[in-house]
Amino acid sequence: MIAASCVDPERFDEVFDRHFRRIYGYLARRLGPDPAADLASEVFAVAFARRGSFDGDRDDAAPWLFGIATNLLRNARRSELRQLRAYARTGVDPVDPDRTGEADDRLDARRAGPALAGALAALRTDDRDVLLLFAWSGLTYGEIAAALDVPLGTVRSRLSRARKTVREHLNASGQLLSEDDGRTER
Amino acid sequence: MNDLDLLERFRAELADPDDDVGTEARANYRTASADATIRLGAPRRRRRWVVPAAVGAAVVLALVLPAVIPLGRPGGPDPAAAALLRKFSTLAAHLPAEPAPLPGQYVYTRSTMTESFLFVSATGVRFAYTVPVTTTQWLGTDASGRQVHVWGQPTFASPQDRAAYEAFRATNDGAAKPWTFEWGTTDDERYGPGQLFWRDTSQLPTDPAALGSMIEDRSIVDGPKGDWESFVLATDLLRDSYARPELRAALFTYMSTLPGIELGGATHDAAGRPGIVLSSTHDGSRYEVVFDRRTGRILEERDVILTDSDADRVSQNGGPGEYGYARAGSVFYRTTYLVSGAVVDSVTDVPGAEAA
Repeated sequence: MIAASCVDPERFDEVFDRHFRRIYGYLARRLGPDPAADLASEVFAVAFARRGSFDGDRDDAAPWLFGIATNLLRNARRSELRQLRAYARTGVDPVDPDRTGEADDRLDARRAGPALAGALAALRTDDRDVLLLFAWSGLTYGEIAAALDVPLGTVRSRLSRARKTVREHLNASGQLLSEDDGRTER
Repeated sequence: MNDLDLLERFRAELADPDDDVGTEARANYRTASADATIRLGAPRRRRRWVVPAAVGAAVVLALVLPAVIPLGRPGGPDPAAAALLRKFSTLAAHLPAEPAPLPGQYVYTRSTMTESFLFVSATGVRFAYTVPVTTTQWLGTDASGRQVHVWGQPTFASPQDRAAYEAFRATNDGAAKPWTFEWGTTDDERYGPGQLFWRDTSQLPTDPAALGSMIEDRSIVDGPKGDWESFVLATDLLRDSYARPELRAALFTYMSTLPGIELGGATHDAAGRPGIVLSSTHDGSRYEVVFDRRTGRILEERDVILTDSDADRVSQNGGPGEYGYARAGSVFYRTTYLVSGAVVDSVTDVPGAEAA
């Protein structure tokens, strides 16, 4: 599709249609809806401008697009940190204040929200990127490595460190119900 | 429910865009002019940077005491590094130490973290700089407390980098991103019980072999396997929350048995204090810890990159933004512990030495 879009730019719409919601969703969970709308738009602007350099041997454009998204997120990392710390401190999520505290089937997750936010704020940027790509993007280890342009082993070690910190915070706040990994490697 | 289950549910309801968001983005992407991108070989991260320290009070003991408890280990530690660590163990056991914090008291830490970046704009403008963030933390045993983060001003790699930055900010592109370059700002935040992280080390064994076994099976602190990581985890325990003198002594003794720790010789930290370096090398970078040779107190942690970040390599994953950046042999991440381990009575108190 991407190669075809170099000849016929209209074909890039197919890339957009396939991936936009996923990219937006990832960014919205990190920064909130409004910044995510701007940033997701910028991701596709960058991708469109650079579509000629996309490696045609790759099966899927998702790692490439998440890589661009991650780069753009770097510009917002201080804003993200402030929001996470505020959530940890007040129990009200600045990016979603209306829904914080709603009682529903995600109650456990909501109770854990401030502790999770505090844990995420305590991570180094690189570790947070890997953890949240793993948790929210649906990318495999290998795809995350491709997205971030780092070795596979680096993805594993960053993910391990990040999860260690998150588990410690959740345990300390009494929110972690199971130490089980709960999944196999993608 | 484990950590990943909880993360999957975290802000999950935000993931769906309104219809108009997609419509606008589709209209925008072809008209935007983001055309130049560079992706560096990003150096790996290192230590967490908001961490309390628990290093003993700095009273000089000018005694060189005999080495103790050689545990032995296949592969063997570097003899010089091991000797220094055994000396630190003895010092830790004998130096006067800050008393353990009581409920209602706080461990006070002030540290400065610096990271180096290369900024690349959508139009290909680039400049390298380093930014310090100074964090002052008051951490209570109930994990309550206060954090003050002061984002410092950047130091540019060269006059050309500064000129590039100033020229960039004068453009529409540079002015259009209000979240970029929030330098010179301060965040002052207070946390209730359980909102920060306190690691209770009061029940950990002080037998070096038993402690080492727990570190290596990652039952105290989780992490990747390997002696280099055990070194990192042991230094975490030296710094975290509060470690009593017997525990510090045991940690140093355990560290003296680890292969792969090298004695790097005399150095200074970023604050100009003299120290001595112990390091371990892994995955393209060297993790260095600067100790006060008289007390064993940790003055600084830093990562030295061993291969160049390639500023000219254009990757598939391009996009404007900040990238970790350093030349081979230079420090790309550093945390300097300016004050550590002091115990105070409230989140507005500072230790005597700081107040003076």
